[in-house]
Amino acid sequence: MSRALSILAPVVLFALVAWGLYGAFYEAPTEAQMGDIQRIFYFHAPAGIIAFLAFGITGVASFLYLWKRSLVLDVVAHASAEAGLLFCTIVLVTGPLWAKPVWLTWWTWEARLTTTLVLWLIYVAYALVRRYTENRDQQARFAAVLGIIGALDIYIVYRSVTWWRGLHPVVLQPSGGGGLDPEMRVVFQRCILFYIVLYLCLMAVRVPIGYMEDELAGLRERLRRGRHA
Amino acid sequence: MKEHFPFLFWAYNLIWIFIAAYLGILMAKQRSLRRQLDELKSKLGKDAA
Repeated sequence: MSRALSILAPVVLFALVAWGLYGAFYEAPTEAQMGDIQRIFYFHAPAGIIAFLAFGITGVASFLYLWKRSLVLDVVAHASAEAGLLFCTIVLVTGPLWAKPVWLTWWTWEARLTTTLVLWLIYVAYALVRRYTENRDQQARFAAVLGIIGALDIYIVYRSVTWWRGLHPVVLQPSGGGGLDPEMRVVFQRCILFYIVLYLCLMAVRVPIGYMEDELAGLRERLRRGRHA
Repeated sequence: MKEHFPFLFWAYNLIWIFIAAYLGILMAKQRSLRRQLDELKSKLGKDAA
């Protein structure tokens, strides 16, 4: 089963990447004011949505971990945070690619950009806590607190465009709907589907790594104790 | 804005390559951990015997 999945998953992913790229570059109509540079939207916005989803799952799993103290929840939170960090990095890389020709600058300390950078930094801190805290229980507790803080920050990032009215365009309204052309919407939804599948693939590979790392640490400890006994 | 088209196309292809590389690294790490686990389990089995 897992062997079939390991062969099938890259094929499906590659097909979805090709389908997404084709949609974004050839099927979607060219935006009237910005032209081709607007096509970044089909990768930038879905990456942001999936980053929110991943960090949200980290937040929920972290909260449940602090409540139940189950290492399964901690492993899920860790895997999801790592995937979320990847997607958030894509957002922060693709955003300036669009901003340079449109705003004539790579970066500006505008509300959406700044809050997204803060969100990214929270999860960089999360990754550092995971990397440098040696005690396993302490690592899980510290990371869970950061995971919850990061998840709460998602709402601030989401509402930042309406609370502080910066330069960032509001394509998806907090009240629902948005100003997307139906043809653009189809491609946009396809790209969201691609990112969801990518997120699931990352989780399917990353979660077992977390289990195996814990099991390996346990076995090494057993071996060490056996030698000292 | 037409001049941005090739730039965008290659920028995004590079991003996909980066993602595929990350996925590949994770899969390699998973294989390596599995091998280490098998080795350690067999070692512990021998020690117990």
